[in-house]
Amino acid sequence: MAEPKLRPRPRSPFFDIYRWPLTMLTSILHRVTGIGIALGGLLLACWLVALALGPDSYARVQAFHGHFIGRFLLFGFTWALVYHWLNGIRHLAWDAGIGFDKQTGFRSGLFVLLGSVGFTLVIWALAYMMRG
Amino acid sequence: MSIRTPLARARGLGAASEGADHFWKKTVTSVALVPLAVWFIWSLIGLAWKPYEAAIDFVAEPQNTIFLLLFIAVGFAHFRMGLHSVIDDYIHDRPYKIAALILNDFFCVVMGMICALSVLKVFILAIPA
Repeated sequence: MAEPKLRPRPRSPFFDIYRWPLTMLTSILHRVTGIGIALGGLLLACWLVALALGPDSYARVQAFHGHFIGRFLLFGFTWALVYHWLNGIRHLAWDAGIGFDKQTGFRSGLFVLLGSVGFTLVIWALAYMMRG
Repeated sequence: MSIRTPLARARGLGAASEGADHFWKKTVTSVALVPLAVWFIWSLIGLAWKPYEAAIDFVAEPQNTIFLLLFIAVGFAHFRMGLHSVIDDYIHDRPYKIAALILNDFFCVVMGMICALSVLKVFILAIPA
């Protein structure tokens, strides 16, 4: 008996098959930054515990924050927080039924992506201005 | 706080019978974190180059103590729910999933308590004897 002729079954495209829509990128980044901020909670805990332990441990933590790796972690933490904050407000608006159409979703996503970088740079510029 | 209708409660249906509750708590904590995160970043900008004594004075200031404790409590509650959703979505093998959910709860509660205790210690020690 002949084998029945089967056409290749349609496959649901996995995320690495097609070009990412911007809204997909912003959604994935929301997750990634959320997990990053949760781990960044460790930085907050170290800072607060060091403060509670006394001047010596506080100086050590501040020295780490002054080091290249510490600076890099803090900068990444700032961006993740700003991004998650901006995109979180976007999600709250969506939950309220605002801006859920395709065009607005794209524009607000672009704003969040560029705005998060802009706000992060402004925050660090302000911090460096405080150095005097 | 629940936004479920009495009928839905009586039927006891839905994801673990409390799907809307999880969504609602996440929404409430995120609304609270919008101003708290701004306050937090703003405060850290001010403290970045300051010495130990200035940081102690800052944390011991009652309104800052309250905002810090709020930020810690609401923040870790929000982390816990967010990480819970991530585990729900990506870890399907039941034993690993349960282990991850328990670890998530332990991590967030312990981290929150460590942060809160540190803030309270600084606040209480600053009270004049």
